[in-house]
Parts: sequence; C-alpha cells; structure tokens
Amino acid sequence: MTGKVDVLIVGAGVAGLTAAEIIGEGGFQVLVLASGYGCSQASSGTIDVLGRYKGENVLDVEAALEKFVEEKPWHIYALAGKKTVLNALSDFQFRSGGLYAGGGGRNMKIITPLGTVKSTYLVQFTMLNASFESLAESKVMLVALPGLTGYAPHIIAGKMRNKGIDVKMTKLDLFATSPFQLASSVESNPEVLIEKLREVGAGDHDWVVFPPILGLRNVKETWQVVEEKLGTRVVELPSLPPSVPGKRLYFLLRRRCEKAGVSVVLGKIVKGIKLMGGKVTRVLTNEGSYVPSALILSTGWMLDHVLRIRGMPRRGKNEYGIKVEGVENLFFARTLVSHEEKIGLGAAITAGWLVGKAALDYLRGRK
Amino acid sequence: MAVIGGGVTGLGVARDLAQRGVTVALFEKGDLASGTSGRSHGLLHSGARYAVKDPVSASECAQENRILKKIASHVIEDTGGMFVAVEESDLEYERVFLDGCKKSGVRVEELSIKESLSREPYLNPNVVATYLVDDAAIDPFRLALANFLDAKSNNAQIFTYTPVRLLVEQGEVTGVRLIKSGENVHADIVVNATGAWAGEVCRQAGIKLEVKPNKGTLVVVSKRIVNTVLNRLRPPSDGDILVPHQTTMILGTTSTYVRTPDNLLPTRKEIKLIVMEEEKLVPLVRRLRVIRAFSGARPLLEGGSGREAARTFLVIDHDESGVKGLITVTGGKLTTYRLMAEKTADLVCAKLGVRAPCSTDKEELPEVPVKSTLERYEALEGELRDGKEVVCECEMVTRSEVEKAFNVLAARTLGDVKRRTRMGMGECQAQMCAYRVADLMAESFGFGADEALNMLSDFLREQWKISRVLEGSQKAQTEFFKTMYRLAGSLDG
Ligand SMILES: Cc1cc2nc3c(=O)[nH]c(=O)nc-3n(C[C@H](O)[C@H](O)[C@H](O)COP(=O)(O)OP(=O)(O)OC[C@H]3O[C@@H](n4cnc5c(N)ncnc54)[C@H](O)[C@@H]3O)c2cc1C
Ligand SMILES: Cc1cc2nc3c(=O)[nH]c(=O)nc-3n(C[C@H](O)[C@H](O)[C@H](O)COP(=O)(O)OP(=O)(O)OC[C@H]3O[C@@H](n4cnc5c(N)ncnc54)[C@H](O)[C@@H]3O)c2cc1C
Repeated sequence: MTGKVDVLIVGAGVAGLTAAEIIGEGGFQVLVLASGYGCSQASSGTIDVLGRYKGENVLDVEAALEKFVEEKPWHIYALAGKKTVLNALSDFQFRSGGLYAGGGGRNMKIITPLGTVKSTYLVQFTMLNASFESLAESKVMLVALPGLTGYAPHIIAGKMRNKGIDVKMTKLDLFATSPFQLASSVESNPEVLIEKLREVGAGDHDWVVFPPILGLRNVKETWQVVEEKLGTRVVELPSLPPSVPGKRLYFLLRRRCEKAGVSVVLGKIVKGIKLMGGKVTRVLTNEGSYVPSALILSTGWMLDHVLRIRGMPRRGKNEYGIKVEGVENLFFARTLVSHEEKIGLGAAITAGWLVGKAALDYLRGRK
Repeated sequence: MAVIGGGVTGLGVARDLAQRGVTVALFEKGDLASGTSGRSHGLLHSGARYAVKDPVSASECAQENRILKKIASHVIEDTGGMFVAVEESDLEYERVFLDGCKKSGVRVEELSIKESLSREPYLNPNVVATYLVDDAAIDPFRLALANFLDAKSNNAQIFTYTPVRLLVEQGEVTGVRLIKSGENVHADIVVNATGAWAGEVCRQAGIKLEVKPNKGTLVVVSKRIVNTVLNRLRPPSDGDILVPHQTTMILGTTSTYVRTPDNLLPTRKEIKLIVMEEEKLVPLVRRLRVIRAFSGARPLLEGGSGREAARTFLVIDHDESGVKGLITVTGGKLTTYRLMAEKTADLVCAKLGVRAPCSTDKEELPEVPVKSTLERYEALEGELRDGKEVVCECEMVTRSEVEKAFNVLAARTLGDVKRRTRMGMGECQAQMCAYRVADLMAESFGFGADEALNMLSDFLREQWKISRVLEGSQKAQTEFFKTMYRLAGSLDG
C-alpha cells in the first residue's frame, strides 16, 4: 500500500492522538499509524504533570512549573511555556466530557494501586476522593475481587488502618477473565454487583472503595447507578496494567479523533524514513510506504529500544525538542517520563498539543 | 557444633552430622543458597569436563553424579549431556578427551551426527562429532532446601540472615559471634563452609588460606529449545556450556579473578561474549531474549590460574597448624557437595569421638513441598486449573506454594520466595507477580503495609540491578515495569 496524506502520525498514544485531533480539526487529512497501543493505555490514567520537585511534593503546580521551566530550558514544558502547558491541560479536561476532574493549577493527592500516595493533576472523576484525607475518620468498605490483580488491596487496607480509617475488606465472588470484561459487564448490568454488595452490608459504610471496574465506555451512568442504589458514596482507585482507566482514556481520545475525521490504523510498524532536500519524502512501513506532507513521530520512549526507525536525523542530546534543524516537515512528540518528578501523561499532552499546533502552522504556511 | 555457611556444602555438612546424631547449629549471613550455590550453572557434572585437566575431580564427579541421581532424583532433571565438536580444530582435543574420560571412569558414548540432530533439532547442523555423557540439570535451590529439611528433621538448628565471626580465645576457636546481636555461641568445633568467603573467615583466626574468588557469569534466555546439556568439545573456555532449566536455558560461563565475592554484576561484554560463543552450539540462541544475567564466585584453590586451578576440594584441620577448634571445607563443586560434607563430617566425628558412619549416600533426600515448574505443568489440575490461585503466571506458582515457602521453608523476603518457588524467574522477571506476593505477605504473614512495601522496593532494586546491561526488548520491558512501579505505583527507593 502506498499513500499520499497531508500528515502522517506515528504512534497512537496520548501524544499522537492529541496532535491528530488538533490537525484534523484544522481541516487537514490525518493518518495515524501505530504498531500497538503504547504506554498510554497501560497507564493508570491519572495525568501526572509534576508531582514532585526537588524532592518535595508539589501541590501548587503553577508555582512549581514556573521554577521548573527556568531551571530546565530544554524540557518540553519550557519549550511550551507554563501558560501553554496549563492551557493544553485544561483543554484536555474540557474535552473529556466530564471524565477528568481536578486541575485548576493545583495537584491533588491520590492513593496509588500500591497504597502509596502520589500528587497528580487530573484524575478520572470517580477517583476524586481516592485519598486518605477524603476517607479519614470514616467507615470504609474496600472491595477485592479474587483473580483481579492490578492493585494491592491488603497493603492499601493496612495503610488505611495506619491512618485510623475503619476499613473492612470484602472479597466479592465475581470472576472475570480480565478487568476490561468485568468493567464492561458491570456497565451493561450493574445489578449483579449491587446485589452482592448489599448482601455484605455495603450500605452501612460511609464509602465503598472499588478497583476501577465501574464501566468502560459509559462511566458516568454506571457510577451514578451504583452510588444511588447502594446509598453510600463510591470511589474508584487507579490500577496497574491491565488498566481500565488507561483504556477509558484511549477510548476518549479515539472518539475525539473520529469526530475530527482522523483515521487510525493499528498494527503498522514504521521501519524507516527517506530524507531529500531538507524534507521527509517517504515513510517506509512493514506494509507499503507513504508520502506525507508532514511527519510527526510520537513513538513514546519505550519501544525505541526495539523498533528502531532507520534514516532518522540525529537529534543530539535534546530528547524533548520538537524539531531537528534542517528538516522542515518533521516533528517530534516523544516524551520521556520522570519517575522522580512524577511526570507522565502531562508531558505527553503538552507535546501532542505543541506539535499539533506547530504542524498546523507549517501546513497552513505551505498553502 | 557450629557450621558457617548455608550453601549446599554447609547444609550438606549439617545434614550429615545431624544424621549421625551430632547437635548442629548452622549460620548463614543471607538466605539459603544465596551465595555461589544459587549462582551456579546447575549442571550435575558427569566428570567429562574435567577429564583432561583434573582427573581427580572428574572421578569425584562421576561417582557423585551416580549417587545424587539416586538420592536426589526429585531435584534433578536427567537430561543427559552432549559434547559437541563444532569446528575441525575441536577435533584435536577429541583423542585426549576420550583418553581422559577412560582413565577417570567417566562414561562416554559416541553418537552419530544424525542421531544428535534428531535428538536436538536446534543444534548447529555443521557439528563434526558428538558424544553422549551423563550430565544432568540440577536445581541448586531445591537441593539446598532438601538438605535443609533433612537436617531440620534431625534437629539441626538453621539460622538465615545471621552473619557471624569466629570467636577466638587464646589462639583457639571456641565458637562464633553473631554480628547483629553480639551474642556468643560456643561450640566444640566450628566448620567454615563459606566457599569463596573461606579465606576471609580464616583470617579472623589469623590463618592464611589461599582461596581466590573467581567470577563466572551466566545468561538466562527466555525459551527452552534444547533438552540436553550441551558442552563444547574443546579445552574448557568461555561460553561453552548450555543447561536447560525448567522453562529457560542458562548459558555460560566466564572466568576472571576478583578481589571479593560480594556484589558481583555481569558486564555487557561478558553477556555478548557468551551469546556469541553459544551461537556456535545452537545458532538460534541469538534470537532468544536475554531475560537475566548473574555472576557468582567460584572458590578456587591456590595454584594455577582460572580454569587451570584445581576444582577439587580441601578439608583442612587447622589444629595441624596450631589453631584448635576450626575445620575449613572449600573448593569443589556443587556436584561434589555431598562428598565434601562426608569428608568434613568424618573429620568432625573423629574429633568428637562419634562412631556413627555416614549414611548420606544411601538415604534419599526428602521431598520439597513446592513443585518445580515442570511438575506444575504436568499437574495442570486442581488448584492450577482454577486460575484464581496462581500468583506468578510465568512459572505457575500458586498461592499455597508461597505460603509453604514461608511456613515450612523459612522464607523471609520476596527474594527468598523466588529462590524457593521460581516465582519471578521466568519471562516477566517477577514484574507482574512481585506486588501480588507483597500483598499476600500483608494479607497472610503478618507483615505491616509499610514493611511489605519496603520489601517490595528492596526486591525490585535487586531485580533491576541488571537492567543496565540488558538490551532490546528486554530493556523496553524493564523500562515499562520500572515506570509501572515508580510512577504509577509511586514506589521510591
Ligand atoms: C505501566 C505504566 C503506567 C503508567 N502510569 C501513568 C500514570 O498513572 N500517569 C501518568 O501520567 N503517566 C503514566 N505512565 C506514563 C505514560 O503512560 C507515558 O508517559 C505516556 O503514555 C507516553 O505517551 P506517548 O503518547 O508519548 O507514548 P505511548 O503511549 O507509548 O505511545 C507510543 C506509540 O508509538 C507506537 N510506536 C512506537 N514505535 C513505533 C514504530 N516504529 N512504528 C509504529 N508505531 C510505533 C506505539 O505502538 C504506540 O502506539 C505510565 C507508564 C507505564 C508504562
Ligand atoms: C558461575 C558458576 C557456575 C558454576 N556452575 C557449576 C555447575 O554447573 N556445577 C557444579 O557442580 N558446580 C558449579 N559451580 C561451582 C559451585 O557452584 C560451587 O562450588 C558451590 O556452589 C559452592 O558451594 P558452597 O556451599 O561451598 O559455597 P556457597 O554456596 O558460596 O556458600 C557459602 C555461604 O557462606 C555464607 N557466608 C560467608 N561468610 C559468612 C559469614 N561470615 N557468616 C555467615 N555466613 C557466611 C555465604 O553467604 C554463602 O551463602 C559454579 C560456580 C560458579 C561461580
């Protein structure tokens, strides 16, 4: 297969799909190719922007970002500028149809799947109260499902007890082959879950804390039904892969891309690019080649060790830059994570946004 | 009686003495088999490898190979072994090899190339000669555990995570001092069974013993495509043995002298060299994923260098050089651990006036209450069929086995569980099961949440030490899981 397209985007993670939507909305034809789902779907779905800075937990993100960009002028946050970072994030939240909550320049503390605490910027709305502070001094039922891994319920319960929360663990006998299957069966028929929880007296608790299984595509309604029928407040925790929140995030971005007229093809491996006269002229894949007017590489960082793309111009030390000198139609939205500073999807959204706008400007300039 | 060292040698000594009715306490600074024993290739030597250079070792191996296949068949996979000449130049060694085997009583049988290739289809098709020997794969962890259980059943006391020093009073060794608690334990005789650390322990009594730690690196690949132990038919050298173990294959090894046996890590160069050499035996090896590499320290005795040095063992009565109360046993091999223990126990008993003879060559070692992965595959039933109870999918370790590791086999950390059950030794290298087992510890073994998390951090730090030198998809996999634990799970350390 060979094809001419306005923009070819390699990678269907958060960075690639964010850029795709922007360019699609700008009226250009966009094709996204990806070998697979990437890290975005494996993530626990919280948008980590800058959770820690110089060893301190960050709560005031706006203030911390200001210092951060001064200190690291090469970082994608500095290239974008503090304002743009925050704009990209609030735009992401605004377009999430209510799936994402939080923000407003401040981090919140959330309980992680391992029972530790992380400062993060946006969370899926079901997790807004997934913090030791929100659950303090109350009676909590923590739901565990045999066979459902992805979090460490006994460690989490232990941590809750350490903080004086009156927690009771309930093991529900609901078996599923995967958390995705479970979440989608809860979505189509929440009664089974509700009935089982009633039997064990969930209604007598202030909170019922779940792993993320309350719906896959239609979370809002599922969550509301469960909360109303149980007559208590309901919270979800994030999870490790296989991750339902990560899948929800992917579905959200795919829906938005579809609206913007973007096509996405999975299962394609980009093997090499050809450069001529300061431009990318051809992109080679495992099945056929493409001739794009502009190329965006949003391949994450992890698969670079495996799927090397031949013919790439050298980028030097600047892993965060969105351009290389001398190649006018090539853009990079590859984002590194920082374990120490708790930077993850925040950088992916920023990079996707920045590159989407830059590519759009480039295409408009050519017309 | 006190024994220092919980490798196979020390545990073998404890087992032997306990069987003869001697009161024994064994002290190990880490976990059972966490020293050289657990870092060996797991090859139950037929003796063929040493037939030319070290005929004494060769006969010892041949004899012990037969004994262990009888008394420890449940920790051995009797794969058989092959010596393979890959290049014409290897054939120069053929004659001396066959002579050596004959002289040391090592059984060898010629195998036609056609037969070899039908037995091992992934063997290099260009091999020029092949011989069959009695090599087998032995699981050093399960061997250590079986000795541990046997010693315990005869009232030996075994303490892990208990480093000790010799207690020396007026030039005489009178027991050991527990370093952590400062407590003194008196003993009539102390056996120093610390392998590559033996020189260090002797020094505490002012004795000079030349044990040179010699580093060897081994490489684990993700798939098992060979079912026979393979050896290159040539003088022993780097990267010329392949041992199938459970779901994986272990390739090795190398040989360099090092200053201390502690904290040895493989280098990228060693890994490359090993894979390159093993490709000559099995070309497809290059395409397999290197999921792990590790290094151990051979306790080589003075004289010669590296592979030239003697692989036999020494049992030294330090009384003869004026230090009472101390016996050192070192050198040797995993294969000869029982014989080493027997000779040591004979000496101890002679000194204590105990008459009971050694029976370790006849009495079978007890069952280990945790299955091997191959046994689990065979028993795909009951607990296993109901996928709910499996905590490590790669090696199919069940929840009840983890419980036994703690309750019966004295496990205390996640690393201990790994050594006892193979949890985390397979494809994913413990990344998906580590937190589940940590959670299980918080659930069933009285660990507090913070304790369980600290243990998880320590374990992962150890698992990831190797990531620096691994490449390709294994590197990507490690990066993925590091992010999972450290970013998504916010686990620091
Ligand atoms: C287990 C885990 C949990 C995480 N949890 C969180 C979290 O809770 N919060 C948070 O903020 N961050 C989290 N992160 C980090 C976050 O997921 C990543 O930083 C982010 O997803 C990166 O997005 P991306 O779009 O740049 O790359 P990815 O999502 O990795 O996408 C890369 C895309 O490129 C494709 N690709 C790569 N090479 C090629 C090629 N040669 N040809 C074709 N396609 C190719 C891939 O198939 C994929 O589609 C987590 C990461 C992991 C691994
Ligand atoms: C890379 C490599 C591959 C090998 N492959 C094979 C093979 O395939 N077949 C084979 O037969 N042999 C093999 N060997 C040799 C074999 O592994 C060793 O000879 C054997 O395991 C030695 O056992 P050990 O009990 O004497 O020593 P170790 O297993 O090292 O036990 C000594 C123990 O003493 C402990 N200790 C040390 N100091 C103290 C202290 N102060 N207080 C308390 N405890 C202390 C240590 O922690 C250690 O656990 C290999 C060796 C290496 C390095």
